Amino acid sequence: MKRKIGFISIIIVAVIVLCVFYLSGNHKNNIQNNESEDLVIYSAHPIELLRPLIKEFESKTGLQIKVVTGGTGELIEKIESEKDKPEADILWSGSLSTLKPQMYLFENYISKYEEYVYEDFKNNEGMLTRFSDIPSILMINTDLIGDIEIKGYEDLLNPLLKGKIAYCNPMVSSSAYEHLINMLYAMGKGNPDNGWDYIEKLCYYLDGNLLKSSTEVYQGVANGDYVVGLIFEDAAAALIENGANIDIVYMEEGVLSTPDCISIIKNAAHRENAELFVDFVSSYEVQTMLTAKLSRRSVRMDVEPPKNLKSKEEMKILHIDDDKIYSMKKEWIQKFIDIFYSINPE
Amino acid sequence: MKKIKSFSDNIRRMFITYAIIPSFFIAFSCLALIIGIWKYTIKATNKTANLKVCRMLESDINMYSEYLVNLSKDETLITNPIDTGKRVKIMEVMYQLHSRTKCNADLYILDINLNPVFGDGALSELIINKTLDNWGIIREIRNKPDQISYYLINNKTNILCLGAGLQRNNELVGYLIITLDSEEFNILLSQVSSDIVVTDKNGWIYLISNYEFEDALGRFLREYTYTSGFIEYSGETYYLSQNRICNDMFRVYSITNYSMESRMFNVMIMFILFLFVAIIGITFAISKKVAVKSTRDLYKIVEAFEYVKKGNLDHNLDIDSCIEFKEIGEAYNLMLDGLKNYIQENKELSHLAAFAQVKQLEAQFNSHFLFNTLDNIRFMSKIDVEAADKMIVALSNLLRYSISNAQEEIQLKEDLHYTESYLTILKIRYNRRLTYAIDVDENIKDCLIPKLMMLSLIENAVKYGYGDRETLHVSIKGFKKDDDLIFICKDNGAGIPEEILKQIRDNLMSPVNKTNHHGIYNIHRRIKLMYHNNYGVSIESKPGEGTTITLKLPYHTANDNYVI
Repeated sequence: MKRKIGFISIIIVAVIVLCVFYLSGNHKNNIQNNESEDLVIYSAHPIELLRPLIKEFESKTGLQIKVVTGGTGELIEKIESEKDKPEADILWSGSLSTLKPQMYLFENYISKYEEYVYEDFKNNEGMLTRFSDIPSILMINTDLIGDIEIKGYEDLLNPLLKGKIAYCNPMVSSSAYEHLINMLYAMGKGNPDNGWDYIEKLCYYLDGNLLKSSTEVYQGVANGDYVVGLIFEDAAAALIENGANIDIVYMEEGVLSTPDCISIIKNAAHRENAELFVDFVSSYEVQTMLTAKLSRRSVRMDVEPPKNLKSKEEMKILHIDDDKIYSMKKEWIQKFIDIFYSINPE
Repeated sequence: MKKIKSFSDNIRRMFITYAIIPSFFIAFSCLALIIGIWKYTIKATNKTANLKVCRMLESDINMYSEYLVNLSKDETLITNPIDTGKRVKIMEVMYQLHSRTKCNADLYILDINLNPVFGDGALSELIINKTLDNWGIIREIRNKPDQISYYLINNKTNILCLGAGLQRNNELVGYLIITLDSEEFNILLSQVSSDIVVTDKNGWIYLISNYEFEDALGRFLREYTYTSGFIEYSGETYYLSQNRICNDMFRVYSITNYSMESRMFNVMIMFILFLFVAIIGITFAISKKVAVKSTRDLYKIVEAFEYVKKGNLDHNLDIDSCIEFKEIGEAYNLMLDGLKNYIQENKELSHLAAFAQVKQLEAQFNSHFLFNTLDNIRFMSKIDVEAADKMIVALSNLLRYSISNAQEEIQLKEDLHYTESYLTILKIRYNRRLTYAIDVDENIKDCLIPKLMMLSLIENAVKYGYGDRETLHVSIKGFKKDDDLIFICKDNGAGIPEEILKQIRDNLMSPVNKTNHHGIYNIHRRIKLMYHNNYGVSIESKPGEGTTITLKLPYHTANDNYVI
């Protein structure tokens, strides 16, 4: 009897051992959570821009970069919520007017190439290193526009374009916010308070479409969901570079050209690497890449302007009151939202 | 202490111990073996695929690298214009390399200002801008002009650049670049069974056959540090192995998905476990039934023995389910029959023996009495002829009675009649010296008693009662008490000395008479043999006062059919 019990228990133990062996075989300790990234970047830039630049930086320095992409507004909110324990080191996107009200989230750092930067794009604030110069434009799907002639904002108020205009919520996208300012100043003839009449009309022609990110705007136009999009120049230019049937229209009423920025987040875990990266994107090489390959305008004086883009001298550049914009940001966005939803009830 | 279990429990336990557990164990072991072998196969094929890709890739890259090293020794490529002969030579080698490696490469030679000296094609991917000499492969070559540099361009297709510097007097004068498009290796990737990912040392992908493992920027997954082994990724299970080639400049990962099989094996294991549990449950449920069914005959036998235990020998076994039990049943029946016969014979034999003994005891009484009476008659014939004649008549009555009737038992009243004859004889013999009184209840006169029993009592009393006395009074009392007949024979004679009384009492217990006192012993023995149980004789006596003999007999008449 005792031997039998022994025999049975040996079998049971053997079976259990086999089970454990089999199950544990699946989860060998050969993978470890990789927490060794050397730099975390939040960015709203398209992959086409991020890929060659990050590739070159990693190749040059051997550092490993983690990139989290999203809309600028969304990323700023994220940084705000992570204020006490920042997960990212750098915010690499956002127009100056979007970032200025949130400057307290960022660290002071002046890039070592600051001396090469145009006077207009100097980092006077201390934490907002200018990365590129981006005019707001209208992008047009040339296959769908037909005979309609678009030269500026006024031409958007065309019954044929109702529901065909791609515009993003200025609360989440810096390109949409820039366009809002652009419209207020251009259509208000220098006084933003007079621009709201136009906004009301435009909201009618948006026909309830308020997109959630700038990506939806340029992809929507490229895919043919929309005919006209209110967007930054670089996105449209990149599509043209890739052979899409897109045209860029610089608004005859006036073009607002604001720089976008790169900023080191306060209390960043990888401060040194973040500084290296800011220097890198301000470097001659990256700025040259921007103009030569990425359809962007450089902020450096020593870099040639892009050949395939209209020079700034040829367009009507708006000069605006920075301080007013920053103080009115929330109010204007709210006013826009109110107007939009009063015309297009949900 | 060992607990005795029922037969069905034993069957159930045996079934589980010797049938189910071993078969389950074997099934499980086989499955484990299959899984083991299969995992080994996965590892082996995966590693083979990895090695194949490593070997091919490394040899291709090395061939082109060697050529770059050869070219980099020829500074005249930059210093002098490349004439037709030189161009042909270079192209010859490139074609040779192409046919050996089966992959097409482009060669570019640039001077220090990034002006192309040789080669055209996808130069725009390589040189962004003539002023941009600190970027990409150019930067790599500038950093270490005397070595082979590697750089990946990740665009619509991935291009691997191999670069070397052209130096004159240790000063960089030009760049040599060979580009290998990732599409050239598509055939290689399709030739191996595993998914392949080839990355540079930072994880940027050159070749990939399953885009699942690519992140948005074109890098191999970075959530984990991967070495070789089984990994989980987005809900699937893979086996991954990794090798490094070209001085750790490139990493080759081969990845085999085995989620499907792993799920299948899990299901199989669960199925076997479920089967095991179910079989044990079913066994517990039905083993009792099976045991009862297969041991029904056994219980029949047990039941038969129960009957025998109770004394019933008339229960026969009727088994025809299987040979073994049938044999047992038949043997049991035979045995039972034999036993019954034996018991019957034994009973008859003992009856005969008892009968013979009774006859013998009777015979003893007869001769004893006869001798005494004849002695008296001889004596009387001289004194009183008439009395002698009377005695002879009485004696002849008695003798006839004792020999005529073959029956052992006789009605009390008849026996009393012959007792009278006997007393007549005694009265003549002793005359006034003997007095007697017989007092028997009327209601017992029809009862059957052993023949000549009263006579024996009186005879015994007369024989030992006198001692040295003149007279003797004998009284006999008979009555019914409960279901028994009691006879008390009392005399006022000499009594029996204590010692002898004890001897007589002991002797009564023994089956053989060891003394010369036949009378009492014979009465007792006759009653015992005829009626068994606690019937028999008891004796009380006090020297000088007399003796009391008590007979206890079963009350029965001729109609009662009392079984002797």
